[in-house]
Amino acid sequence: MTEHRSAHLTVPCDSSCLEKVRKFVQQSAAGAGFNRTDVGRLVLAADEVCSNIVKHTYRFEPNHKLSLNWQEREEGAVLEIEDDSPTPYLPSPTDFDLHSKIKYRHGNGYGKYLMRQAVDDVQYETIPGSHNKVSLIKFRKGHEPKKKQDLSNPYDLARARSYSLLALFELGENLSRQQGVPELMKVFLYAVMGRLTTHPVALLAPISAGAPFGVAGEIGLSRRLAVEDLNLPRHGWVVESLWAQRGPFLVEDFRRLRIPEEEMETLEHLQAALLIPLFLINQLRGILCLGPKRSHQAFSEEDVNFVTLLGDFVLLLKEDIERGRLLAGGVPARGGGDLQAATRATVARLAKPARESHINLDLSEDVPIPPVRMEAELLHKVLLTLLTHVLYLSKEEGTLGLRLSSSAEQGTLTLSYIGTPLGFEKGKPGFNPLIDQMISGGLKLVECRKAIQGAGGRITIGVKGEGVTLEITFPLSSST
Amino acid sequence: MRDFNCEVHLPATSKELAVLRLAGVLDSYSLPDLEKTLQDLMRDNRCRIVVNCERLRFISSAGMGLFLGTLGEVEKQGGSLSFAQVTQPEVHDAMSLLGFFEVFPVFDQETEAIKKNLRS
Repeated sequence: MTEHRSAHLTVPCDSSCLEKVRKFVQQSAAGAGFNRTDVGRLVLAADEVCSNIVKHTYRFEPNHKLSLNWQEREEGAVLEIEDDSPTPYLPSPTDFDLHSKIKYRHGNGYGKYLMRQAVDDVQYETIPGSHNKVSLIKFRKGHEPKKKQDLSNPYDLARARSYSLLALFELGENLSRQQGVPELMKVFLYAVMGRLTTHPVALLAPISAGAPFGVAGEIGLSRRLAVEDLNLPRHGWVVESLWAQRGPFLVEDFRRLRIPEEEMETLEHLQAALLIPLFLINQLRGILCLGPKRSHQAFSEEDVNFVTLLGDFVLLLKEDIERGRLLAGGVPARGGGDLQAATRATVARLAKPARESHINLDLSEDVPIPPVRMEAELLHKVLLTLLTHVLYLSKEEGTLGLRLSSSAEQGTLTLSYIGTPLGFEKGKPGFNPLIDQMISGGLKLVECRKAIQGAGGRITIGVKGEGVTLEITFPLSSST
Repeated sequence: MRDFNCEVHLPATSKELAVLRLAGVLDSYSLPDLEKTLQDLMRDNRCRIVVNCERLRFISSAGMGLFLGTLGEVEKQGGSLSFAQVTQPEVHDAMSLLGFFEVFPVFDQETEAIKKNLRS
């Protein structure tokens, strides 16, 4: 039976306390078997908590103490940090907008966000009139609990409901309530959804009482929804989708669209509202957020907020598509890709370029793998991109071995390069360009990484003796 | 004694460029030292800054926030702030968690960063 260790540290808040905290956490986490990255993240999170206490609660006064309690468990570890102040320690704000803070170059306020990124859970406890306790929880790989969906977040709600119209309607309602965004926002949201999917969707727009329900015209309609299906409020609103091409949408046109509700029944306005191309949304956001170029243009804060929200929503949807969580048809990805077939197809496709580079592609262990949790088409694309890049980075005259394996929960493709390929020379600055490219450069590789991670998979690149291995692991469709 | 050092190198070839070579740990205690250095550089119109992180072992959100705030300041002066040799995995990971690499240019070598930041 595994021994579960615990350790304790109490430090006075002098200038060396943070160093002592970091050392304590580093030793405890390494001793518990966490990998280097997770050790680093635990250290980072602990430093953030303690720095906040020292700076904001204690104001750098040295006659206070910090108490740390490390408890190791089978599934992970808990680090409890207690202060000795009766002042409640405030949890992170829920409306933290990293993108906005970075965009406007804010110089502080990132600590709690970073802490939440670094560990799996953070819990706060205040003992009134006594002290506070912050618990940092980190799970070992493979022991992470299934994340509960936070359906209070409107974007998550939309995802959870597979971007159904009802979910989008609720998203619009939530955004209207939270941000004070006018009803028109909903129209744009649905227009964007229509752009990103291959299925025309029934759209919702406000109409005044007495305006016609449903608009039939020379432009074909693909789907209708009954008002009852959506459980709309009594004076709700429905019109139907329109597909027509128009020219570029100018900022002036956009401003004109902020029209009173009673004018929305005008078909022309609705058509114009539906046709904003995606790139223009970002252009508009850029124009509105960076400021007017000509003095006669005056953009209100509402304009800026509106387009920012719209742009953010578009980016979220795009990200879900890129990561393979959402198909272009607007339905959630279900997986079922055949890793063996995809590997064989990729090897066949790259046989000729490999031969021309005098590289021997050797699929030595070729075993059937149960369906993995990535769509078949995306799986083929990802493997082809990755192997093409490995070949590109490889030295001439070598063997690239491929091996397929599986366990109860995952399927794995391992690539092993015998010999030191060009670009992988140890000690050379920029060692492992493949890793760097997968993290921050080489657009296609970043997309591959996102797609694999989006499907719950993992990429590991390592050096073994004289060679380099690249291991890509996918959870099976059947595993939870 | 604080485990942090910031060596400032002012290339003779440019009145705007400054290279900071950081070593040790950049946390809430060592932050004021770096903050002062950056303020001095801004005051002297050294608004093209290259930060070499080869020997930096740890950076907290305070340090990263300082760089983001400084970026805003140098940008107002038409300058830039970039990083070189972010080789320590823990530092690289922390920066990555905050999306640093989408904001700041990062170079493999200090010489490369200097070359890119010299005004023609």
